[in-house]
Amino acid sequence: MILKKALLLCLILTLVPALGGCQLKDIDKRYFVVSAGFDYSDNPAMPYRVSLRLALPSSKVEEGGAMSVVQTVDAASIAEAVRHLKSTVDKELEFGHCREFILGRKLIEKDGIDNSMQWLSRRRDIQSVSNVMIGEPDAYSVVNLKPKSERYPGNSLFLSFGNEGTEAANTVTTYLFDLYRRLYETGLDPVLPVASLFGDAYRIDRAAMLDKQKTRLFLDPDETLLFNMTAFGVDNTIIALPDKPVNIVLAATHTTSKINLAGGEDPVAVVNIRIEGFLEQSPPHLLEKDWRGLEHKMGKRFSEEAEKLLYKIRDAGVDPYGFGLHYLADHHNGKGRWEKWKRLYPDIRFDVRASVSIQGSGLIR
Amino acid sequence: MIRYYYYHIFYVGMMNIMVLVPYVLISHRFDGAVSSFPLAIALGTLYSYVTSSVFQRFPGLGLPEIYKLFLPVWLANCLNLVGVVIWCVAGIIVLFSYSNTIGIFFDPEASAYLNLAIMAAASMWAASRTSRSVQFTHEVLLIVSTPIILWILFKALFSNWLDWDAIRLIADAGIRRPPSMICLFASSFVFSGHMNITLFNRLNPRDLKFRLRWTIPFVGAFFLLVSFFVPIGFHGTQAVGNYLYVWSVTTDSLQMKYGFIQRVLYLFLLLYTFLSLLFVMNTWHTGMEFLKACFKKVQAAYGRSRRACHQLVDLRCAGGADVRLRLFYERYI
Amino acid sequence: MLDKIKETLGTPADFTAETMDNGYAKMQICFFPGMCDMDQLKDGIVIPFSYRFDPDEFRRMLHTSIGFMKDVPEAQWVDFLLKGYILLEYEGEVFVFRAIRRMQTQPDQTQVEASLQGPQSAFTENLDLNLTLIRNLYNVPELTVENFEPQNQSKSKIALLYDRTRRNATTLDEVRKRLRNLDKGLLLSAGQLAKQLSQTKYRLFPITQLTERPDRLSIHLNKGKLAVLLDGSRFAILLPVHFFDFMYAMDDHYEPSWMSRFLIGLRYISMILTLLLPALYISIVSYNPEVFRVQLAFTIDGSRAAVPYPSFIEVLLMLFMIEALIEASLRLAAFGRLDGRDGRRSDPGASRPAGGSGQQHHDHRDVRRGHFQLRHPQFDLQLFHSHLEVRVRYRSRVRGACRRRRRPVHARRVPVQHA
Repeated sequence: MILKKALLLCLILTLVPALGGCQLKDIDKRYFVVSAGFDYSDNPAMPYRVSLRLALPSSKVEEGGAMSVVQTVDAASIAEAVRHLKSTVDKELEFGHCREFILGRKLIEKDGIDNSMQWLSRRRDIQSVSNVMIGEPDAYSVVNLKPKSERYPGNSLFLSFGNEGTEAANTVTTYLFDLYRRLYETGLDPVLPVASLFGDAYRIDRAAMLDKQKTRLFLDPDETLLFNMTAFGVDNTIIALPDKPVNIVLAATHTTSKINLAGGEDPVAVVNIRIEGFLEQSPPHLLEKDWRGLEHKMGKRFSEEAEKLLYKIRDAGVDPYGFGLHYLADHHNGKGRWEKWKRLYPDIRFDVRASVSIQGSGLIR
Repeated sequence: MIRYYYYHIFYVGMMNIMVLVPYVLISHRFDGAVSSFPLAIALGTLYSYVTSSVFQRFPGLGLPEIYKLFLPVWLANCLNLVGVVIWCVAGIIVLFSYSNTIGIFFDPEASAYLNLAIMAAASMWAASRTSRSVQFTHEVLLIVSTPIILWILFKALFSNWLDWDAIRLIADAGIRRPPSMICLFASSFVFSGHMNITLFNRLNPRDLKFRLRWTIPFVGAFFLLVSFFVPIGFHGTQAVGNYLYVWSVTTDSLQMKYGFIQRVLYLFLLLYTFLSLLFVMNTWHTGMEFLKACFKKVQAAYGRSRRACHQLVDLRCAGGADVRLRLFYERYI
Repeated sequence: MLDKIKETLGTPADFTAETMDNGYAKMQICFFPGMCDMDQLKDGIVIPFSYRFDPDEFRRMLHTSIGFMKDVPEAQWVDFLLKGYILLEYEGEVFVFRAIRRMQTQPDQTQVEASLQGPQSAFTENLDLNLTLIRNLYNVPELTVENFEPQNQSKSKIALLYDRTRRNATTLDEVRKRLRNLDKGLLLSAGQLAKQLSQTKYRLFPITQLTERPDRLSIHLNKGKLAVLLDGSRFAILLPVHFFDFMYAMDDHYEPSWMSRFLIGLRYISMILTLLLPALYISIVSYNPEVFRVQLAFTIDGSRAAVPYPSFIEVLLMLFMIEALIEASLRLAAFGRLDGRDGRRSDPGASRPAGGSGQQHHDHRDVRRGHFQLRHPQFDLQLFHSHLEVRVRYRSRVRGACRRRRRPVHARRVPVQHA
């Protein structure tokens, strides 16, 4: 009996040191990185300039009370830069809450996107649903901005995306996993939002189209809106129909879009889009006079603009809509199909079939 | 009591997501993975039917007892030892791969062996309980985790980010390829849940009817297709091949905007900790019982009167279940 | 007879042994006055023997009344005496008269298992009264009572109850066997008996449950379980129980279905949280802060910055303090007790009237608060205080509410006895 107890005690004592083996690192010994920017530094030996915005925690949360510091370092690769950064701060860097990654415009033009993506995708603590964007003129200035309205550091930029906070219709949301998929996919190309500064705020109303390496095309805010509606079916947008004395504006509450390829061996790329909404701006009694006609006019106008955008994107040689993937899926990914599509795409015709349905004219006639 | 049979079928379907099967299938996604699915579904269903029908003839007896009834002791013991090896290895594979995953995502700094040791100790303790306790543990954990896992799967299935073109491409192109052996074995894993009957048949009452067996192909096919196609839909036809922990990354691509935890990944890993421990508990318990059966005598009162032809058929089928499992694991060790 | 008894008992001061003589006949009588009901003694023996004495009638009474037992073996005389019986010798025959003093004549009030809507009566420390309570609630002929008289130093009666049609025979045999083989020491309470019945010392999950509620016992009997009652203990033992029985309050039986389901769910969720939260806190704070939402992570980060110890020490300290304070307030009622009012104020001198009336009381509280103050500045225990305070206050409020609701017990469910 005593022997048994002694054995048990020995067992427990041997297990106790194992408990200390888990590398305990308390939350107050960690720095939360809230956004990270990667720039090109013009120094061939150390081309990557990494800027990290570190949150200084406080137990009080109030408007404008967000405290943070920005650390910058140059190195030969992103991983080394982060390693160097660790020696300049007194706590462990924690990327778990970093959901904004800003790639400098120059970095993408000089170095492409691939090297940065390698680092981002390899780290286990970086969330797949992080937002990736292009910083203009550079990533550092976007990381360094501290908007006055922020309640806690990094929040402002984060809320700009998706429908998390604001529902701005010309902000393209690209998650890390989506970007990675588009980088490798045949017939589907990446698209990134472009973030720049606008006084004391961020301005994310443009999009950049990339091939697998570099940027090919920058869209202006109106085109970004059109792209968002046709490619992602983003809700809460507006369509304007030029009119005198003031434009007729439809606030679209619900949008669905679907791409298709019609016409067998000589395909036409069809974008079916259905838009529902209310009139937000119109002369009195306009809707009652010609409901169908107005819907038709708006649809036609939308289709024309969208086709213009599609041809522009096609001529830049990129395919963010995934027409190529759709073509391959339609043709069983057969041999030589991909080469054939690459020949077909530069001359493909587009047909945007927009059906606008006006639900009403708001609260007044 | 029939529900305990289906618990096994269900949880092996769910485990399918976490073990190496999706990884194997996805690495063969362009050659023969998809076309072996129908074959696997047919074969798996057939095996489940045959095995359960066969064991229905021996209510209250596990495979070791059946061996002892009809074979000389030395042969029965040899077969039992084969069973021990197969079942224990199955547990070890899952334990190892899952403790790796846990190590990567939860605590990369800690020693991998520590993780492994803790999980092994927990499983060992659980496996050394009585069969009935193991069954009850299984039931409780499964009831807790199944709804949430299904919720995550359906959340992924109905996500806007799921690219149906990629799924269509893989399915359409893959079905035109000849099926491959590896993929057939890998994808029939999802149907191996019924195999637990080899031991747990001991607990089945005399008048047990295996009702609702037609659901097996549907359940199996659902989990098989989801585990293969959802990662492809999320990561595209090409990039999906670059990921090592396919399903962990896929669930990380989901987010619970209003949840207590925002990252689905952690919820998912937590639930699969349950399931993995459950799997290891079940397999090791079966292994232990097979080993124990080597030292037990079976009363010969039962079954001598069965017709000889029945015995032959029964034995071949019951043994076949083991052989199939062994084949599968030998390929992937 | 008296000499023989004095041989075994000695001459304890609380023992009366007399020879009564009414002029016609003599009677030897002995008893423990403290354990006997004097009214019964008077009505049953003294009056018939003294001023209404009729030798024939008295003899007839001794031989026919069910209060008297004769032919009791000599060895058991002392046992009967120690239980509160009266021993008398008349005309060479020895009789035992049952005149046990009953301490309780009314059911107790529930103290531990409060219920809002159910009956408020609880078991008492009197076995007969307890059996009455059960028979009233579970009024079927199948209810069986078996008596056990353990040969230990307390010799309290034990009753085993079950429903004849529903009980499991093997369980019943096992319990009977265990009841017969109790150890020989003192058996003071039902809890002790339950411990002996379960036989495994280090069992994590108990197989017996203690209850003070006759309604809970009736429900369990109706499910086919067994109940053991011990004379002198106001708790009954239910067995065998499983885990879920402990999470079941009697109100679940009386509330509307959805309400009780919700409450049961609430209970299980709370249990899981109680089990997991400390561990989860450590694991999230020290290993995976990314699991939290950003806001929460930053807030915890800010508040943790002032704590000098690692998270697990913090949690262990917190758990220890809470347990210690609860223990102090629960069991050590008279000494070192903290109630809600004392724990709440951090400044002992702030809001109390100085001097004057009740000085002694104040002094007493001062000591206690000062005692508490000693520890207070060391650790940031503010949070735990408020937590504890809420618990204690909640408990006293619930109790107060129950007390207020109670109706007089005898107004309820007194069976009408027909002659």
